[in-house]
Amino acid sequence: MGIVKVNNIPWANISKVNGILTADFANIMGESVPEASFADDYSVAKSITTGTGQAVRIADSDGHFNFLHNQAYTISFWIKPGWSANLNTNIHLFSSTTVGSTSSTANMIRIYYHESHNRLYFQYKSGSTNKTNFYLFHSNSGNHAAAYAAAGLGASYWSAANRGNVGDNDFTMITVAKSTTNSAGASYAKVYWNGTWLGNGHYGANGTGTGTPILTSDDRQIALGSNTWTYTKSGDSTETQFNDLTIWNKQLSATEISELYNSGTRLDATGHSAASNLQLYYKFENDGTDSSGNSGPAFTLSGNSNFESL
Amino acid sequence: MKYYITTTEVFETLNKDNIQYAVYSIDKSKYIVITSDTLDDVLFAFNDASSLSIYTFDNAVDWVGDNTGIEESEFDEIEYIEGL
Repeated sequence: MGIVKVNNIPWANISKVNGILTADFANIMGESVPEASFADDYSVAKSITTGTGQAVRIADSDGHFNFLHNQAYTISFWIKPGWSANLNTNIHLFSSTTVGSTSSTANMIRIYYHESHNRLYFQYKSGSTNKTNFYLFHSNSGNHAAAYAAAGLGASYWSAANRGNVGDNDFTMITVAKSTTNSAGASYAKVYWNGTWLGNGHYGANGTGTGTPILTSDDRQIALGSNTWTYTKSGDSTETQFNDLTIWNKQLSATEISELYNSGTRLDATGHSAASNLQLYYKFENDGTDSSGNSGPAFTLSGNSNFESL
Repeated sequence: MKYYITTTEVFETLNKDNIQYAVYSIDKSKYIVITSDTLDDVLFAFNDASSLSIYTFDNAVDWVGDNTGIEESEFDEIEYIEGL
């Protein structure tokens, strides 16, 4: 039997013993030590009201997030839609642009859902150039069949009333894993619903776009649930919730993404097999701080956006 | 390209190969259409993408559920695909 209490204090409430982190104990005098607990009690609810005064955002100023067009990275988050079938426009799930910019083309990287066409887009831009692909969920044929099967939405569009295949608490894990190639095509930027690859997407292995975007190393502002130039496009009806945002400095493999999905139960990403590549990690356990160990900037929640109990 | 709002009935008769962008209104009674064809039977015609975008922001209740509008960039980026 493992250690349950020390001097009548529950082991779960002890962070250090004689200055040593409990996480660093393999065992004490042959006694097994319980693994560090991982709490998943809160998510972020993004207000459907728009503007910076209602945003869920960070404004990095020290290079923690400034990926280039030719760098590999992975962005993953869990989402519980709050929008309705009458949204009829797009909702931005993840957006980043140059810090302080009000332009949609300043080193822009975004993942957004266009409700009126039932398409999930991954796109990055620099000036008039961009790389793009999208994934359509209601057509069970051709390039779209994989996304149709992965999402499980059927013929109806993605919304609060039709969340498709979900993990714990009705959240879906959306992941974009980009390679070093300057392309949003499915051979280079793979998009996953939970742990399942969405296939080639509409524009296929090479994607589409205009010109050759060259992103610079300027620091970026990041928003969940809105864009980062007008802080609009946040949905309608009810608040969309986000949880466990991880950003990695490599293209995670399908196996590593499956490990992160963990059969639908959010896990402590610092224990993931690729944890050494974890760049930023936001658990949103009633605070917006970074848990990656890299001392990244914290998310701020403004206005009616709030941490919400699961 | 030319910028229009048509009824849904008129939209159904259009040559879909020439449409760059199309989106229906929230009540699905009419369409915003950007096409290379010249249309006569329309509810509104606009001089350019900017004018059309401004119209959607001014009349958001008809077109989008979040009380914003359709940004000009969407006209280029949300490609119309017949049947999808």
